[in-house]
Amino acid sequence: MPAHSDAASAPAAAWRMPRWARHSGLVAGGIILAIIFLMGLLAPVLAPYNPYDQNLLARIVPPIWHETGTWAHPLGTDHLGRDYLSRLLYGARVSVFIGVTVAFVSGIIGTVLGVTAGYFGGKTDTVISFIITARLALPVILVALAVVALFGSSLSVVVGVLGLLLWDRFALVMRATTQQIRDADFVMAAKVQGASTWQIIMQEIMPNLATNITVVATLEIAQAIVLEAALSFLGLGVPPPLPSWGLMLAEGKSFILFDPWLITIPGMLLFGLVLAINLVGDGLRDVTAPDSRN
Amino acid sequence: MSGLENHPVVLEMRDVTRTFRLSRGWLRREMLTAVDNVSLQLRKGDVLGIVGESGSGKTTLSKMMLGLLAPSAGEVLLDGKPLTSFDRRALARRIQFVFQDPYSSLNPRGSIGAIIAQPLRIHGIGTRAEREKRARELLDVVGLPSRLFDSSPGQLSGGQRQRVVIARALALRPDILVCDEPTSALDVSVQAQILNLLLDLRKEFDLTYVLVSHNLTVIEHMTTEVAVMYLGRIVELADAENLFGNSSHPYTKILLRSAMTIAPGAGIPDVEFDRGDPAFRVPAAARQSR
Repeated sequence: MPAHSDAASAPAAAWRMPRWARHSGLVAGGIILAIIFLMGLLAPVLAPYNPYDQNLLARIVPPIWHETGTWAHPLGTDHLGRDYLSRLLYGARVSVFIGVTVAFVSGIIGTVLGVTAGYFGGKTDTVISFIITARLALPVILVALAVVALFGSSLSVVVGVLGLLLWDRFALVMRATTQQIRDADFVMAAKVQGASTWQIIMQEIMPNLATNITVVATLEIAQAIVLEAALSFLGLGVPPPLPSWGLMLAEGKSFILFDPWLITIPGMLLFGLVLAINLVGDGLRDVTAPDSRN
Repeated sequence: MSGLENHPVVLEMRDVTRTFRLSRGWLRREMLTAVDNVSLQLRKGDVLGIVGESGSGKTTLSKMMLGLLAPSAGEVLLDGKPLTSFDRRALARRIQFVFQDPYSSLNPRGSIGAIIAQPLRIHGIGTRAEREKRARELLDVVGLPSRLFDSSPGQLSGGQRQRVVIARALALRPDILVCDEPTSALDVSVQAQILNLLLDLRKEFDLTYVLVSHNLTVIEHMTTEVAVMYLGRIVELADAENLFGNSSHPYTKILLRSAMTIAPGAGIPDVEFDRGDPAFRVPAAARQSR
């Protein structure tokens, strides 16, 4: 396990540090993630302006590192004169909320289906595998477009659609892992002790799936955030004037030639968030593997 | 004789047969008879050894004793009542299992204490504190230090793990313990310790054993009665002394002769095995298992 690659940033006392702290990817991802979480959480305190307040006299003010930048708007303003920093801070809330909620909803659906198929096998497995295949045949973006066209776009529609569409990876991974564990001797031991099917699944199978669930969940959080951005970019995600990073990209796209920072700033944040989530997912997988626990 | 003839029969198998359906490619099905018409009785206090080569049906037979597999024909009786009339939990309190591989029989995510207390938790016996106390007692019974209580299975050696498996099996105070090759996955130096532990526990907990093994030395050391299995059938059932003194079935003789010994110069035994001998003739159904 590459859990000790932190020679550069760790001092001489590295061997005293707990395992998770020695995993550089986990630490770096965790720090970025913590910052973005805090940004969203403390947005009302940190934001210098109301993110919805328009000021048409101060439109497209460039950020502070430009010659004409001003400390009144450190990251400038958008085409309606809304303070960019405030919108980014509130936007973190939307992105994180969508990512976590979608992963939670799809995680429950996928895990229930996958574990059921993997544990019971036979006809149950055939039926659930068919459902998984049917789901894989649906193009996410197209279905999302159709649903938004029918029901209109709102935060709950986006979360609902993505949550109901992104469970396939959970289901596939849980099914395969459960099949591996199902025939293990310790599951038979629980049967010999008189455990019910529910007890076996909850006490014997699920603890061994926890690592996989975490890793898939991080992948799905990242995917949901990117998909929300894509949908918002297409004008079908969260409705304006809600400050979502994807929506900010969409609104900035007509200014890309002369004011590219309108796109690069939320783009960088989105990139950083998704990268951090993936780093944390990889790190958790490395650190929690039971075989190398010491 | 073993001197247990007057003891009550606790477990009885009557004409038990188990067949498996094998799939050999597209639409080709074959039946494999793993256990063929086996009858045997287990008396209180017995140590019944089941020997036989790999694939002779030993494990299938022991799984049927535990109710993990249903017989295709015949019945298994516990105290004279069919095994199917007991529910899973009632059965668990009577009969327990010691696994062959101590590496896969412990959940890698549990602590040793939780694993040993697990049967108590499943049966809802005692409070959390009482279960923990009992688990510590059981650690002591199987000769493990109490400090291993919070360890994870990955930190234990094979012999220690097998002791944990035994402690877990004893938690519900069963009276029958089925041990499937309890020492074959262990170092030779540890095997004797585990076997002696099993013998000590037999007195302490008044246990009846079924000991499945292909190791004749283990069988000779441990058992009061031995059933020799060959292609799913019991070809010889005898007291341990009789079997090792004068076996009657040719397969038993071959089995005894094939055992590795440390006699000087003996080397790997040269065994002649004439499968044409009428004694080895088996019904057509069972022959497919070869």
